[in-house]
Amino acid sequence: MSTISTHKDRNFIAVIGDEDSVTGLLLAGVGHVDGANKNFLVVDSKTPLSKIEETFLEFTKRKDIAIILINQHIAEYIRQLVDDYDQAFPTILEIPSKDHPYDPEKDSVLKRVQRLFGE
Amino acid sequence: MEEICVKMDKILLEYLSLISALQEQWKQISTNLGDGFFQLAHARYTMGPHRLNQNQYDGRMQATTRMLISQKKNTDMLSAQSEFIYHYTLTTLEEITEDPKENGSSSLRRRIIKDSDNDVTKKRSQTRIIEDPLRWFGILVPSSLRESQRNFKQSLSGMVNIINLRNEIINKEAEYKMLKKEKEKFMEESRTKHSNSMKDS
Repeated sequence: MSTISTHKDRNFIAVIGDEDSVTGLLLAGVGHVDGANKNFLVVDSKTPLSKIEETFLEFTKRKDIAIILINQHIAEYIRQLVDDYDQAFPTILEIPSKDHPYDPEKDSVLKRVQRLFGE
Repeated sequence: MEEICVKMDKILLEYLSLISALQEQWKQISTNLGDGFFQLAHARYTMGPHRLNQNQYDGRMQATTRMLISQKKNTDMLSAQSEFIYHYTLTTLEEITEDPKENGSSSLRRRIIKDSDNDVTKKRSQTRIIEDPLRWFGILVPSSLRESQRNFKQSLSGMVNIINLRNEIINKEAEYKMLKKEKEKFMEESRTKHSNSMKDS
């Protein structure tokens, strides 16, 4: 069971996404910079895969992040990491982007539903 | 036996309605995000591509939209593994500064409690530091950028709803699986009982 401090101090929403998604969510007020620590990463065609992996792992280890929002198509690049992630906090949510609309086929919850009824 | 089946049906119905709520919510988010992206593209068109990109982000930005995770005790004691349900709530800094007495976790709120005598000045200076992200892109921003901000705020609250729904769904699933196991055990027992009585006769 997690202690109170593990979830009470988690206030921030982290974002890994393309420029438009990050800009939009920062407009909504989620961005937070504390020294060298940022809670967002803009991914474009030049971003190396290692940078995405590194940032994802860093966000999952931080104690002040409650939710990690990641574009579904970017999550595909690091699918193994995302699928193997099993901590309670922070929670990961894959979100659609401008060029990649929401695909129910890839929704982790709906996959679970299929599994439950497919058994 | 009858009782277990009734319970299972009830949970399954709740489970399905949660899933349909989840799908509805995704539809809503997709619309909001779509509008947000459209308005952003329009703003970029009116402002010029160099005034609306990641280089304009404020390097000292502070989050005005934050999360509050609260723990709710699971009322259904059926599933032992999920004793608590976590509920995510979206908070904005205005709300946080307005009621400093409420048990909260933002660093700002704690700071206000510490020096409550100069509460007002603190609040004022804080609002000066934390500015609306719209300002990063200029003072006179087009209305489409404002509209886009509104759309993204709506999608964000939808995303938090999705996370809460997802937690509830996972919880219901665990309950259902547990009842299913119970039912199977019960059936197994009655089967062995039945075969034993057959042997006896």
